[in-house]
Amino acid sequence: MSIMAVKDVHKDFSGLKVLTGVDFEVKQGERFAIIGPNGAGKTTLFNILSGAFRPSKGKVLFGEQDISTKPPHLRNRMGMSRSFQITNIFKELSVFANVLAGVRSSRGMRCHLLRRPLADKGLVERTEEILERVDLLDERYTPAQELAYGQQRALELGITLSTDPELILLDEPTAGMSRQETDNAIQMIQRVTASKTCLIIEHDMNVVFSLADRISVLHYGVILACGHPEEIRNDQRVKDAYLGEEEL
Amino acid sequence: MNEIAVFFLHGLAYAGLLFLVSSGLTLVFGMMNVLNFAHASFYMLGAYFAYSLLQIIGNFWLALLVSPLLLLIIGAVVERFLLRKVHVLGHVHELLLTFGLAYIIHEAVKWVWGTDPHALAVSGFLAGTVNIIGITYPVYRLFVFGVSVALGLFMWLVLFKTKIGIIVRAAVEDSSMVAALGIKVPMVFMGVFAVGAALSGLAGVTAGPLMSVDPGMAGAILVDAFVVIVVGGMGSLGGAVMASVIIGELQSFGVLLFPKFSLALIYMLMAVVLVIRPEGLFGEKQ
Amino acid sequence: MECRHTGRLLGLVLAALLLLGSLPYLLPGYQLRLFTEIIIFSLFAVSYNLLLGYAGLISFGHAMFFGIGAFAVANFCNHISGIPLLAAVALGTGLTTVMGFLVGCLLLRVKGTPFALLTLAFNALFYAIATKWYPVTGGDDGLIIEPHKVNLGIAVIDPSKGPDFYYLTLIVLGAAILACWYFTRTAMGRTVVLMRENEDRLRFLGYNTMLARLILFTISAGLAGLAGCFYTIFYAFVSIDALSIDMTTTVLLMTFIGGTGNFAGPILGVGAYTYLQNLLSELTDSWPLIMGVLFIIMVLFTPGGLVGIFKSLAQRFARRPGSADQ
Repeated sequence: MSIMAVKDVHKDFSGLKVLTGVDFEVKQGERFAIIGPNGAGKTTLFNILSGAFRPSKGKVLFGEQDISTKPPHLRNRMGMSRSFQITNIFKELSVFANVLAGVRSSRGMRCHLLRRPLADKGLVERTEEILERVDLLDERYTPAQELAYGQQRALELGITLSTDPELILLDEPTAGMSRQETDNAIQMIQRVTASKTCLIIEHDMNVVFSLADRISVLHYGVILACGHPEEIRNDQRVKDAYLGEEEL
Repeated sequence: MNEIAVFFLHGLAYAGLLFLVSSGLTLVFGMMNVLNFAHASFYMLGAYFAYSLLQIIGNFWLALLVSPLLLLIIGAVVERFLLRKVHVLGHVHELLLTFGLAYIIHEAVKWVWGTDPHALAVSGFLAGTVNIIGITYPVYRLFVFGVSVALGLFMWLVLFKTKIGIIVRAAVEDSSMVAALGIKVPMVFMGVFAVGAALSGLAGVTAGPLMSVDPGMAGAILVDAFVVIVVGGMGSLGGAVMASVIIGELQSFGVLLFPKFSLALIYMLMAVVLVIRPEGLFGEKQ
Repeated sequence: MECRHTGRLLGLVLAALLLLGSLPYLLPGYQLRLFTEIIIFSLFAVSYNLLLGYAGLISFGHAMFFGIGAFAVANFCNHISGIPLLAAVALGTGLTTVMGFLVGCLLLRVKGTPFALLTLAFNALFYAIATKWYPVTGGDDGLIIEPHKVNLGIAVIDPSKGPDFYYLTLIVLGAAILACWYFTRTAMGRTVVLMRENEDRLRFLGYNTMLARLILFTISAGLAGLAGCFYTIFYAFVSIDALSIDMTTTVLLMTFIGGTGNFAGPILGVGAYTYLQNLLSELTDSWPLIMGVLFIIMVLFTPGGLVGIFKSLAQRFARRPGSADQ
């Protein structure tokens, strides 16, 4: 069952073709990775999937629904959530408040004029649960900007999970991390996305081959190849495109 | 027919004033992302300084020269010691600072010069009239328009034909990039802010003989200047020129055609532009 | 900070209520009037701070809602004979809320500086209309009203009597201020702060931020209108001054001086501003200049306002550092 389908998506920016005829499907429960060199269009693709941009041509389907023109907040309510490559958190607020924001949203407590979130046991427990899963429960009162970089990335992940999404979009989750931090991150991602569907953009080949069930290679806005990690590793076109760039 | 010509010329004179005031405002906004509420206060100070200078020296031309120089210094001091300090605190604080500054200058002017309006008199050929396109028209208004055109041309020359001009224009586009090139951006900021203040002050001096010199001067031109930069596009000098003419003529004919609502008309124009096309009629989409 | 010291807090609140309740017996008539005015402006400033401090929206036109409320109640009182005073207030507040919604729909499409400019333009627009709309606003002359007595069954409140009106104001506007305080603890109140911090991310978390902003703006406008209604009753008179940019400037100064980062800040600011103005205006006609200088000094050196100053002083003397409570 495909949870997300991208059909013939094109994106032009004032004449510059960033994406051309991008076509793929993400099956429910799998971890799907998109790799490609810088400038290949990965972030643009993500922005189109999450609703920040609209495709110039083509469609994005979530389940059966065409979401190509739906704004980000509606997509999230449908069950999709994305993380950001450059940490995009609520810096001055506590770790707890950061995650509570999304938990509230998924429980319909966004603009309620009478109910107090902190008095709601269900919300508080759920928030703590998520914090626990990203190893940040002890830091719940710490202002987000005082966390170490690796912890901030964990918080980024936590916020992404807080709306209880079916489809998780991760934008370069290990960006800027050390070897050790990356290994920890891989484990955490495996843990928290266990029963969910996951779409990951990544640069780091180790991460990709550790996590992905299937991989799509994006090269200058075009899908070069799509398949299981072993297939991709042995694909000649991919090797040519990456000539000298990465050790596959 | 003659009536229309007169109103048209009136509109041009006011457009000239508006341009002098709003050019500095729009450049400062484009470059530093700060809306300077005190900009119209510099205009008012220019007029008051000229008034006092006139009392002391008695020569209008000297006042026309010295008053803007005083504003140049004041502008530099404001940018260097006040604006720069609040920059780190963010947008809201910058706005609050310029707003507070406008408030203080307004009160200070009332304290020093009193609340009664003063007259700024010109003499000699400036006070006379001339025959132009079949009507008799006061020389002074043409002078105001002429000064604005001359300064506008001078600005265009500097901005588009000199090295300093390129730096300023680049800083308006992308100040962090300019800084990365090794150019001392704070100096550029200070310079543009100071020159903008001086131009505003100059506008005030030239406006003095036209409208009386009183504490309400700043408020009167402030909203018009804001409308100009909104309609013209914040950061766009060319837009400021076009919009100044539009607003100038609207004000002039508005008093003629819709006496009760001429004021409201201008605000509605600004509101419409901000809602429908926030980047201004001549600005670029952000 | 969900009531860690419930007992102490409750005791403090009771003492405050007792003090407030006995003020008419403690203060001379003039001082009581001053204090009543402080309550009115406190609601005005608190409503303004919902925009400035909590949502991070700088508005240079909040007086337009204060003024609409002020004029609305005057017209309702004068044109609907026999209307109960509180009904007129309710109608006035309701009208202002509707206006707040309509204005918000237009203005909230833009943010930051364009928004600030728009609020200024709209305030100027409303003022310009008000000066010419004689039948409704009385133009330069203003409108006089004769507020009717409020018959509550167990008591009759005569607004023209100082202590009576004080109690009315304390109860109604005090309740409104408390409601605002409660609001900051609600889901919507927290959403407002989240929006200020990172609106972009919030959208990706399922929040319709445009709608949230609109709701907040409407509430803030309505509350300003309520304050405006009481302003008119207080003076038994209203003029276009209530709508002016001067009025916006006043509430801006009051709010900022008190401190925008804290709920009680604006209330403190209103008190400080009012008493300072009273003191200074005895000494000099140029008291606005001194206020302005004070304001600038605070913007430059103590942007957290009076509350900020107290907090840093408290931290100097405290043994435990404060913790992030939200």
